[in-house]
Amino acid sequence: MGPRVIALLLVGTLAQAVIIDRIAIVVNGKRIVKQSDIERDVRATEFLNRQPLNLGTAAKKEAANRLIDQVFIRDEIQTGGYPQATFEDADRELDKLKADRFRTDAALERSLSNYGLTQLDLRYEFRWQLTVLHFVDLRFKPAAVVTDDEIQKYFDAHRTELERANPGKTTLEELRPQIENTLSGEKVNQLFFSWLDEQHKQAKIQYLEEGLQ
Amino acid sequence: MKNLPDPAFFLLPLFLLIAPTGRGQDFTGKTVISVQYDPPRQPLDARDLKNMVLVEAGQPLNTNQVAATIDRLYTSGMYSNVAVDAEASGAGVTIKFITQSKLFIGHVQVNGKSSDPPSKAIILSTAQLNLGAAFDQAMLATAKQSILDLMHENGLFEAAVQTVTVANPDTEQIGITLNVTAGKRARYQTPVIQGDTKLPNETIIKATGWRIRFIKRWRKVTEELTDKGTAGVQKKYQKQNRLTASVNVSALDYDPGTNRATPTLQIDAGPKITLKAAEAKISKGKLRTYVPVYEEGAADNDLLTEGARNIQSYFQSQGYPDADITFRRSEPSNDEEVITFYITKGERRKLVKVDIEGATYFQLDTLRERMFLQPAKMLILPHGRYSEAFRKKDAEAIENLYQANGFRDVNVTSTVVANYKGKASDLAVTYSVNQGPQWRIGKLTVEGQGQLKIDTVIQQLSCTNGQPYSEVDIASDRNRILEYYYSQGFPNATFTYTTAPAGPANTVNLTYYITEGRREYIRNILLSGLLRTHRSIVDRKIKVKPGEPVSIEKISSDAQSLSQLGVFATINSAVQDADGTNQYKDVLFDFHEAARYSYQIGVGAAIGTFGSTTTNLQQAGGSTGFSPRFSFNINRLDFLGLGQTISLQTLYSSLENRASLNYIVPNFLNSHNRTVTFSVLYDTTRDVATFSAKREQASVQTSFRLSKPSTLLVRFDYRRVSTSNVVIPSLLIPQLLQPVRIGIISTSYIQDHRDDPANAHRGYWNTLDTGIADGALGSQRDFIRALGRQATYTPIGKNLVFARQTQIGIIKPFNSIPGLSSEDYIPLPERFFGGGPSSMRGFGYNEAGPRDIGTPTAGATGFPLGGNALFFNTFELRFPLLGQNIGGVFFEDMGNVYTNFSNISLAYHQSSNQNFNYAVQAPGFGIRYKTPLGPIRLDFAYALNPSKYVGYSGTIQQLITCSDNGQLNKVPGCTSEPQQLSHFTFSFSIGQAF
Repeated sequence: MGPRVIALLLVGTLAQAVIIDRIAIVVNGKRIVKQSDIERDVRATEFLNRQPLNLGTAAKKEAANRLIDQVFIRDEIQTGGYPQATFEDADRELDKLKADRFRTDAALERSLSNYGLTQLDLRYEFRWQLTVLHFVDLRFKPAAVVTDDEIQKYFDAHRTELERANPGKTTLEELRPQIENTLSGEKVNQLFFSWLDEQHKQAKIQYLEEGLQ
Repeated sequence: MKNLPDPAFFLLPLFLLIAPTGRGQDFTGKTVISVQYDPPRQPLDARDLKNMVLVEAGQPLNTNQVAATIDRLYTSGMYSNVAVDAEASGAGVTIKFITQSKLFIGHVQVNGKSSDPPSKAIILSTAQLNLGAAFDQAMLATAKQSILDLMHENGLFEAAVQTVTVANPDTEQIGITLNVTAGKRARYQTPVIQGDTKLPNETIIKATGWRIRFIKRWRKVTEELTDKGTAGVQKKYQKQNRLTASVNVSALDYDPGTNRATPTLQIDAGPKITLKAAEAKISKGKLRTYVPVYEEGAADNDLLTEGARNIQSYFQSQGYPDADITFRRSEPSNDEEVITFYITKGERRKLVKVDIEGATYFQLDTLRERMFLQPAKMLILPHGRYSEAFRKKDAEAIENLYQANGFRDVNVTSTVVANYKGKASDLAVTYSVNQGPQWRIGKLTVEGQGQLKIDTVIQQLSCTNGQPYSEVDIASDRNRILEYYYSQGFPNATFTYTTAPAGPANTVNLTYYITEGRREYIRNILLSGLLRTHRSIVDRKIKVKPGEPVSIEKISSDAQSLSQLGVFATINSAVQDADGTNQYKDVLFDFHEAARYSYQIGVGAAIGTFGSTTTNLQQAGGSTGFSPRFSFNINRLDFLGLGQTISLQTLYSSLENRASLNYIVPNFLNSHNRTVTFSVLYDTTRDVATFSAKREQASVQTSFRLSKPSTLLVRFDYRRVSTSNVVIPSLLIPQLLQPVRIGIISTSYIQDHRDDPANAHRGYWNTLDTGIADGALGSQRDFIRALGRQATYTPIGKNLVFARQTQIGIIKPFNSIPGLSSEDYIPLPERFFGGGPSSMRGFGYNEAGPRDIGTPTAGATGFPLGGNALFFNTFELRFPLLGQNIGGVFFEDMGNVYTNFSNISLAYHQSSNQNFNYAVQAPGFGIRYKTPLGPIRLDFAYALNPSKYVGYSGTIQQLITCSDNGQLNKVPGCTSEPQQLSHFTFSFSIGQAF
């Protein structure tokens, strides 16, 4: 391959138009998920999970599914008038992350830069995650009623683990709050995921980037 | 060795084929050299595009701005896909938005041979392809399936539907044609009957009505007939008191070999239901009326509870305020379920007094008119109206009224006194009103006005500084403000309010917050569906213009105005992409043109005392008659596509034959209140006993709608009138028999303030017709003519209406012909005739006024001659008679037709049988039966002083014989004799007298 080949390849690369962003998914003909949304979600997720940056198709598919779920949640938050978390709340999470994983701001910036992210991206990510947590709590917790019978059954089945996890507490009454919390959390999750399933069933999802299907 | 091409020639195409994305290259921060669009023509208005695209040439590229722009473009609603590519361009980058536009539903039409039912309109509505909605290919499949289902329900099992779409890239609209082939309609065949029917199959089949009786042929399937069939079977069960019976068509199976459909009837007859009353008596009829199980054809507990409430109300209205009703259902046994209503009536009481204490702010009448509780009134309400529920409701009603006037802390309680004034059965109720302070508005502030100044609206608000604080008023202000915003192109405007304590006691400061949202403007007005109609006539009617704010109210008003053209079957209007965030919207008007020809055929009859031209001289006073009427009208709408109408109207009856050809030009000179009508008329009338009149007429009339109740008509008539069948010898003179040409210009002013023209209860109605016939207009007779009418309608209490009407008319000749008196100068058909159901009920039809008194050579026939003046006055008291639909009237009609205006007299006595210038008085009684067309009317009048006249009692043949023998007026039988009109007349017609 002589200099002419290299020159042509170079010209080909430079002069070629490339897609820098596009609509990837349309949900219910109203909401969209863009290619840039998917990539940002992959980067943020992998950064927070301390995974190496991988923008492969599998990671993108997972992100696309998460973002479709988020469309449903956003719509529900909007129509139901659920509160949004504040940036102050998000900053607290960011500070916690800094304290846990990075000694300096520069180290954080360096790491974020490796993932193609900025601190602002992280603030938005934390704010959104907190908003979703509030939403799930407000929307599903009232329906997650735990009965005495269920508490008794859980106590009987997990007595040893409970006593190990809560030293000094051995009776049902002493462990009731912990059990209630666990069961309630399980029920909230169950309700939340069945609600999401229902939303998926009713939704019309159009993949404009077929590789994401 | 063969010289191989340079590897670069293989690799270059490979580079172009690989879907390139921006992953490998980062253009962020590079200067944007230019922003391009593919395709170059974008569906958004250039102004919207500029607002939405954040990427600008000359600025560094920011990928967040690219992403935000994609979001904005998509939420505009105009795109189905957006991608952005970047291409290095020198040191910078060229950005290209590659877009795919959405299409929106435009005109949808149904073509092909479709068999009604279903009608094309129903097919269209079933398709659910709504004007202006974003189009999606899947909609066509759904529409097709819905139409096929509809066709199958109507027995058209071989129906086929094809869709053809035509997209218009200039308007982003897609026109859809639904080609429907109906095929042959199937007939029913013996249904499959399943379930516990308790009736023989043959009885059920008969009840469906699906088979024609006697000839036993199965009918053709329609959805309506299928529904009627199940309803028929249900009714059959209801007759057996099986009120819980359920009857459904669970399937309609088609056999293409025989083109027959087999319905499957799923039936559960259920037990016979018997309603009983225990512990108190109530008639079976009342039980059926108050317990709605028969009406609804079901006997569920909700209906029984409603029935118990109704029975309770009935007993309370009968003076049993403590009535308590419960019901119990027995277990079905022996195919019967008994439902027993246990009625504990309690003591019978009479509400004798309702007092209100402490209410100083309102007059007591203001409070009482809002209350259900009413003390006893003899005959009307012998026990008064009282119940516990009513007592609480009244307290709430009083509280609501106070709260609406700023008394936020009002409290109303009530006490009941039994054994009032020592009478065990008497009750008295006292309401105690603790008004509390009246809260007032200290200061009203309106915030949020930015793009729109609403000072004029603020001036009209109900809440103002110093006014009582009322949430009802706030709600009314909210509506007023938002309606204004909506009408000015702010479809997303919102309103909230807050209150805060003000300085003075019981005063609040009120603040209204308006969030205006995005203002939307009309970009283009797109019309579709105009196949024959000229666009110009539609354009004239559409007042909204591009550039104006979008106002649904104005768009609907234009659609309504277009419908008044009368050339469209339906008009739909919409805003294209209404939910999109773009500011400049296309407004759509879609038309379905009406059928070009319409026909009306009418059959009717008049019954009453009237005369038609006759040779029987005994009938100078008219006789009871029956006159059948047949009419046929044909209209050609939208003539030449100009929105004008040509109509031919014909009438044939024993009294009148008429044909008229009319050319109607609505919106003359672009005024929607002005209509011009050109008419040619041929009319022969025999409704006056004296003669037959023939009228050949051409006319042109302009009508002006001055305001909603006021109309002015200006008209020029040129007509040739002639008489025939004249039965009065004295009139057999050439001048009177010659046809006469009349050229008359006239005006009519109509002022109609009646609440219901068919059956007025309040308001007034004035009409004034004036005209002048003159030689300059080609008239052979010169005269002026005026006829005025004034009617008023005054309600008395809730049920009575006092109506009155006065009519006065004058014809004044201002020229003469030698040998003719001023009376005879006016041709017979031009004179006033009167009498009958709509003018004076003491006379038969057209029997009022001067009559033939004969000449020295010819005897008097006594036939009506008409006159040059009239005066009629009517008083009428209208009242309910029986139930909701039957009413009655007492009336007193007075007046007559007079020789001349100067002869008008209100004298009671007729001075001689040759002088008819006096006022006939005719009291009477009438019955009205309410129908959707207006009341059917039957009137009986008794003339106290009917006209006396002299007339023959023989036939015209006898008269001729008398004349030939020289016996006329000489021998009995050939001589006129004194006679008198009947005291009693009756008439039967539709509509009130006035």
